[in-house]
Amino acid sequence: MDLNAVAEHFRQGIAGAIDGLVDRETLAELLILGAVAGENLLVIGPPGTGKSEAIRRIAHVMGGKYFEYLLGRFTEPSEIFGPVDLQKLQLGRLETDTSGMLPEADFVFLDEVFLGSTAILNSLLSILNERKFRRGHSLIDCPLKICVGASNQLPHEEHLAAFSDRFLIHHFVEGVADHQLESLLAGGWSLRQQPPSNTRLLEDLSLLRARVDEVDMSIVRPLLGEAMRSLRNAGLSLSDRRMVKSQNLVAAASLLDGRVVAGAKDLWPIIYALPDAENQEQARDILKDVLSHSESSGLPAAAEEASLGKKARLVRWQSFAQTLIKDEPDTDEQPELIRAWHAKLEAMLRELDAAFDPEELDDSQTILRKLMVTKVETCRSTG
Amino acid sequence: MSFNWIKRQSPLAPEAVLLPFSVQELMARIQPLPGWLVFGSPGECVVRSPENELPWFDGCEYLGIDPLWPGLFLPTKWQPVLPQRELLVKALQTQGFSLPAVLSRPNRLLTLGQPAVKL
Repeated sequence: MDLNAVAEHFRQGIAGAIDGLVDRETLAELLILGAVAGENLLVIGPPGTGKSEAIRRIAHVMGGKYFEYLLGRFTEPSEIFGPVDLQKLQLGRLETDTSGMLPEADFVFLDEVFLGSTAILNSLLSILNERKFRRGHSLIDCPLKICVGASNQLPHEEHLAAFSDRFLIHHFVEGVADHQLESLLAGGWSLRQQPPSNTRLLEDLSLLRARVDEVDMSIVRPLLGEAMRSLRNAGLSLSDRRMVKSQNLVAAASLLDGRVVAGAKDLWPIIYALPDAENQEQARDILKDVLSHSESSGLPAAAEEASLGKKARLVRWQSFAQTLIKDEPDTDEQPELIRAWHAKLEAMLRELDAAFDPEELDDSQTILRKLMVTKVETCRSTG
Repeated sequence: MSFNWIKRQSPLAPEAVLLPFSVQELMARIQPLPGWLVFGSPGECVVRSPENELPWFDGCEYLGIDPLWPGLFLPTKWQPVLPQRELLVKALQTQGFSLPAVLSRPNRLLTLGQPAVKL
């Protein structure tokens, strides 16, 4: 099967897993990008925002082995990696029985990942870097496709910052917007109907993963170098390690778009290689000319968010607001319907005003906001 | 003491709203919701409630809590810059200052005290 067909089959298969994940398309797409690139993903955001659901569904639809754990300060290494193999211990060998545990999983989700003990984080380091589990006499090649770590915030401690650096992709999520609550409820309901597993997708992933090193980077490398220089000149911190590894993401983005020659349109993933939200937002501004070429048929939400950032949120808001205005009920409709529509209108204005100042809106967004303000005020004055 | 403010990259979740009119005017303009805590001061008021029940008015300022500034409601879109942040927070906490309070732009501290209306 040619690359385009593999990428297309993979994209189609994954689409079923993403369906119903409200406002989490970017997260799911970054997960796929990381799995193809062989890089790990760190998700920073409040609890209960659908982080684990995204990876659980993708692992299920691909038929891979899945392991998830909520780490705490008192979590024992055996809870993650498996207990000591007592039979082998009697023979004088310290080995771990890893059956059903993290070292044997294809997809891993670790919530509150920075709360793990030093022993856990050290063992995790070699799994994340080399896909190898080492403990006592145990040395196991791990089938890990991607590890997703989650936390409320980035750590400030130096040793934990070094650990978080092992997650090349950093993604910052917020709670689902108020006006999307109905979609969230409907999506949550549809998530109960799990899409069927398709093990061919795991084969597709392996095929794509194996071809990352074959991607021709000769066109994109000078552009990447120029972009990195611009970031450095602006004082943004991107370690040499992250700079070099971000090439894996660019190559994977190109493959997922069905191409073996990476170009300017594949540069967008470098935004996610910047470690904190503030740097990511500044980088979007510094690299806006480069990012204006961003395009990905396979990962459209992630490419859009990389190039637009906060503006992507504004664009989504505008699209929802336009639909809402179009769906305005007639005055002779049931009062409950009119009240519900009015409440949604207020919720959308609340979301906008809590996040953006008027000068951040473009002309069409300003006009749309004014129209909504007039409708709310008319509705209030007429009771 | 004066502050500088910078734009937040990610806004805080709204937990209150500062409205540019009195409690009486608020009550005259819309039907209050159960669970609201309304705090008044001359010519303005603050409503605390879960985010999805906060009122919206043109020109209102949404407020949220930043863990770095405990006990203070801050504008959701803005972050104060103050080198001795810990000193200010400690001073507010230890000198009998009534918390929570609202710290808003440009340099204003508004104490909330007891709610004028508790629904």
